[in-house]
Amino acid sequence: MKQNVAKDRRLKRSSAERGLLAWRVVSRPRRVVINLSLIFLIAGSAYDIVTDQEHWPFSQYPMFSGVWRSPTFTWLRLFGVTADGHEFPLDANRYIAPFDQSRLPKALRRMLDERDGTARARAALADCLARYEELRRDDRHDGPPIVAMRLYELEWTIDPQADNLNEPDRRRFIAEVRP
Amino acid sequence: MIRAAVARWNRFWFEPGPASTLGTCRLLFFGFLFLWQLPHDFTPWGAYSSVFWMPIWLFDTFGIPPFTPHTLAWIQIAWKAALFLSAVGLFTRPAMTIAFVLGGYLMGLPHNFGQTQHFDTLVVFASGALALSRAGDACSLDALIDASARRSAHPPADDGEYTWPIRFVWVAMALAFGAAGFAKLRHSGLEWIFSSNLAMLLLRQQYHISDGEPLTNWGIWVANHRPMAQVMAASAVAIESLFPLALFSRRARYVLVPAGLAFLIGIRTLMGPTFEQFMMCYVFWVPWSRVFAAVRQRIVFGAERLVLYDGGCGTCSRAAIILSRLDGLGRLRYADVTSDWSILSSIYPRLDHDACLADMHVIVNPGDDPRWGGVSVVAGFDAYRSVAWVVPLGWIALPFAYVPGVAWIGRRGYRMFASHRTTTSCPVPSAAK
Repeated sequence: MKQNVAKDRRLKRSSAERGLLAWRVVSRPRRVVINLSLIFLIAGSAYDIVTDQEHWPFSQYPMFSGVWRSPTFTWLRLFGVTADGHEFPLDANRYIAPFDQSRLPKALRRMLDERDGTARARAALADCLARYEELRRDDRHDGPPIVAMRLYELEWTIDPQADNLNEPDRRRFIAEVRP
Repeated sequence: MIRAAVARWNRFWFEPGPASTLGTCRLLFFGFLFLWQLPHDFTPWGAYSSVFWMPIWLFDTFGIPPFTPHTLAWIQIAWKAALFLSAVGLFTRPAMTIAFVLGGYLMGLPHNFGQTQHFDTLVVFASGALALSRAGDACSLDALIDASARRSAHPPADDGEYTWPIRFVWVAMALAFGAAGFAKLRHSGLEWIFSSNLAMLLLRQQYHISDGEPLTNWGIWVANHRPMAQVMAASAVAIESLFPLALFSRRARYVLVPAGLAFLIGIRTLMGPTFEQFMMCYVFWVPWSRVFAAVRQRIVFGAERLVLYDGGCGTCSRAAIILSRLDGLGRLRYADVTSDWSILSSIYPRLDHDACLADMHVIVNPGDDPRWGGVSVVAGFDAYRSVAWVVPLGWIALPFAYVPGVAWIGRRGYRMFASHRTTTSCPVPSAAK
């Protein structure tokens, strides 16, 4: 028993010594810089995790952390309007690049939640319309030329097969822009 | 107590490790990032009107603006060039610093447009760690240039400098996974697992609401099999929450690191969010030097080659040193014609001393291994082409070396270069101190 304890101590000491030796191979100024960067990473991350905040690139990584209970959900979606009045959803990233179908609706939602929300959203739609046409001219998507862009809020009941993708339960018009 | 804690800290971060592992991580990480980012264009972000500008704290605090498309175009050219140079390891330290600074700006820029996404946070941390590191000491052009200048065929000794950047990425990844698991438990508790939550999320993702489309529609099938969805939810929370254990336990690492990768692939496949850049950081979990050693030990990549070089010629010595650093499979051996001639001539009496001094010679299969059909001797361009068969980097050039006409040009080019070589025009570099 005693022998085992002594052996354990020796092992611990040699392990600690290895740690200190590892320390010595790196020069002192570099050691300071490296340790500060390590502490910065750990402390910055810990702060965001504990306070449930986000300071990119630090984050508490909250994506999908809530429980989704509702059988329905709403989402903002852009629609293009062709010269003959046909309306079609811009539901692929290629129509709105470099935005995507997550970031753009969330950006528009944040705008709409502000006091002059509709005016801001109209300005944003004008940008998106110009971008759509630019991408079309560059053959970056196969969409038709459009004469207007509309913003709707769509509401779906979540279908077990997602078959109602193109048939939302409700569609609320928010804004329209023309060139 | 404090001393023990300090020792433990130091051992974790600064335990001596091989330069080749960090060098390979650098090469693969920046190489993948370069290829991934090459088609991505950041310039349109500069064209949006100010209504879209909702700065995140980093840009807000330091007053960093969205630059014009023209300026962004130049920034991204510089960034992608820096990524390429960081990957190949040329001007490695400044290239990695530029890659970190410009990448931090460009990758952060889209997050100022309404939503902060999380697929690139780890890339920023990994770039930062590498920018501070000595990752260019191996597997880089800088290392080859340095080795040839210092006339040192030996790779750098194991050092703590080659460990901490890798562990930095480990810790950053463990914090990301751990935080995501903790967030689920904090906001939803076990309801996240035992309710129909994941089934609903999987179905909702089919309505074109993600930054990337799910690669398959298998999410619908999973959502319609509630026990399966709950098992997946439990696995997700378990992998994320337990991932930090991978930092301290090798057994946990063997399970959690592949599980974490499978989890990210599962997210991409079933739900859509694009974590490809996050996945690139998995290269830091592979003990590359041990992988290379195992490959060398178990697989024979062609016959050994004995490289005969003129040790009195600086160019030839440098060439031999560079070959020795590129010889990842350990198939090359070396003999200096000037100093080792008596031994060489006794073993290979047909060798001509003057010819060996004039051209680099390679003896294929010097041990006369019957598996490879006996000894053969090649010289000049053909010697280099023979070496290319057993040096991994040479495999890139090998197909071109056999294109009709290339050998003719190569032999004449080599002849021209070798005939203009003298001991005064290519002095022997001084040995490394």
